[in-house]
Amino acid sequence: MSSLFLIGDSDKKSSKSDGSNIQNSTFSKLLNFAPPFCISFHQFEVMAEPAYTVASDSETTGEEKSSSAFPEIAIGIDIGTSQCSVAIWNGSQVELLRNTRNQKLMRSYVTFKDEIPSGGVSYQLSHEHEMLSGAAIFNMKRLIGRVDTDPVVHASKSLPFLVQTLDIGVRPFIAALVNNIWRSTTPEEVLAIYLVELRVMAESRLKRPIRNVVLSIPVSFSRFQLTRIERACAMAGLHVLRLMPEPTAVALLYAQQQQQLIHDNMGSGSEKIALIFNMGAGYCDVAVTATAGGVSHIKALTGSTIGGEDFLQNMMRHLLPDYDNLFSSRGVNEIKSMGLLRVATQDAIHKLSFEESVQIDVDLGNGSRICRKVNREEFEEVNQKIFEKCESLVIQCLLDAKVQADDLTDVMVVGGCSYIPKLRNLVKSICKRELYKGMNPFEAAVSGTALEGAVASGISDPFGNLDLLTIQATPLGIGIRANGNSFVPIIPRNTTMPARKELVFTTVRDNQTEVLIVVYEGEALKAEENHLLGYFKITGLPPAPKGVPEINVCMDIDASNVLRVLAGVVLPGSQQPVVPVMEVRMPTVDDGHGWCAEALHRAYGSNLDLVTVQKK
Amino acid sequence: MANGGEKSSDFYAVLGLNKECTPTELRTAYKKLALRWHPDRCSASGNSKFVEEAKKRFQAIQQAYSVLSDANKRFLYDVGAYDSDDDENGMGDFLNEMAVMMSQTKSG
Repeated sequence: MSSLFLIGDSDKKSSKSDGSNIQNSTFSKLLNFAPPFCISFHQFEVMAEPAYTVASDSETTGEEKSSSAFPEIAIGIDIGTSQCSVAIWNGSQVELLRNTRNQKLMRSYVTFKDEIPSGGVSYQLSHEHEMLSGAAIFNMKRLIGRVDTDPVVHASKSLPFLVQTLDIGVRPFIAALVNNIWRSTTPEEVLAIYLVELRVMAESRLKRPIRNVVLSIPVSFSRFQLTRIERACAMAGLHVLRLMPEPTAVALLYAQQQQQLIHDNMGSGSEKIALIFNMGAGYCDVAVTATAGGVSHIKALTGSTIGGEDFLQNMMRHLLPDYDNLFSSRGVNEIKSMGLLRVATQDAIHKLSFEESVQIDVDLGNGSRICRKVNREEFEEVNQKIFEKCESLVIQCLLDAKVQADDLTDVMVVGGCSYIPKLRNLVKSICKRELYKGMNPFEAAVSGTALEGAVASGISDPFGNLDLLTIQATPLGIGIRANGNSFVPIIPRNTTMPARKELVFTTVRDNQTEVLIVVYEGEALKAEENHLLGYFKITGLPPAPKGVPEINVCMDIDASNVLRVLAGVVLPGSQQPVVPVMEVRMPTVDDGHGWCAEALHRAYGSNLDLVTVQKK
Repeated sequence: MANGGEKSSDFYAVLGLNKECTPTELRTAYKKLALRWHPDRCSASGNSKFVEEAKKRFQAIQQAYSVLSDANKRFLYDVGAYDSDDDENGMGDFLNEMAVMMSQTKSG
């Protein structure tokens, strides 16, 4: 009965993770994977079915519910690089769900000890060092959807599990040490195992099947990375209703709080401009939002892959200058030493948020021992570059939003790094404002996703507490390769969504009958320095001198952030397209996409190129 | 040709306002309409035709607001010199755009 059932219901409204065949391959892979790593959730489940096989029964229950008078409220999940949390609109307010150990914030890791994976939701580490023994995989959010040429993946090689790169643009090899054997896995699988734990936890708390979720994601995630998150959700039996950039989730919570104020004491209903700075272990994001009447209008978004993990790595190298040499060979002893240093350094950084200096004393077990005092200035100096980057993100975001510091009503600093004094000070000084005190910095993002979950599920509140809306903006530009090797954006960054924009291109050669449309996402001027999303060819152009055919490329992003690229060809003097219009849902690329663009170039040179049409 | 029926829709009408409205009225109208017509607020109805309609409505509202909320663009729009095609790319800096548009008005 409840055999393997594909989650992507292709006939339904927005089966976002396009192509059930993709999921299919993932599933078969998981199946191969399943026997040794069978999950031990049986105590929660009615039947002892492997947690990955999403039972068809639970799915139908979800379907029926959503069409009944009481629609299923989607839960909000904040998947952090270091910690995760789950929240839901409970009918009158947002409530964070607790696991069996009464935690609202749960560590993000999966340990493969004894060949049975268990994650930070259900599992209690016997000791902090257990997480660093090689058996646990963490920082999934930093690794997911990245290829092995990515500097972020290279930086992850210092983590106490195996991250191996071949530096050719394919996915990195990741493995956990189980009984002295490196067993391979992928960030998607690790995330899926973790999400299953979260789902089971939420189901046992709410006593109903959970299917729909709203997840928060970093601003800098490419659309390719978003597909990996969706895939992990699908593997865990979850349907993604929305993926929300983290600071926009915080912005929605802020919008709700402002509405509440008006409701309570007739506060002013005027528009409020807020800047949100969100820095966790893996990513740093900034947003500027204009809020009025429960509507949060995102004016600008900026983000970068910098976070607490970088502070930590810089400090470890500072404390142990020979770090890279010492740990280049990855024996069990090295991993153990690395783990000891990691714990000690993390602890020190944490204390430095509240104390001027801290004593470190750690025996690395390999003959070397670090015993010294570290003060706050030292920490700030070692991480100077990161702080500078944070500064530039805030300034850029204000600039993009066309907002002056004086226009800001409120400024909030949230996320795992929000107690670092230097960060608070730099945001305060750029924004010339004290920080907003009305929200818990660790719970703001997940609370926002829960609000979005309720709104997107069509829940209404008699007191108007859910008369909310986020008007999202595109975090990255989307365009095509044209004019030689340039990236020509069609939907620029920070365009309000849903959006539909088009641009006209033409051929570069006489009698050119084919053109290649290569779609990228990003900000770099050179096409190949952006994220490749996909490519397709338009064929059958009637022979004409170069520059004559009008090739119209249109990009459409709907409210659920699905991107479609449409391309059509017209000849002057005619309104009719000469060939059928192509409509392609992006991204279409899979792993190793770095290769594809190069391979295309080798195969076609500039024969199928395009140029923009100059406005008359 | 500069002034004629160059726009199929009147931005003020889209937002339900008259030409004399203040920036605050503009903002309020936009947010109210967004709350009503943004696809996110309509998607739960499950009616895909309605969602598609909502998307179109919201885009029209968004376009009207993005022009009228920018004092310079609103001025150009009011004198009939605003050309949405030039704006669509969102690339050119404003002065440039203004110069082009002004010369268009003169010649028209």
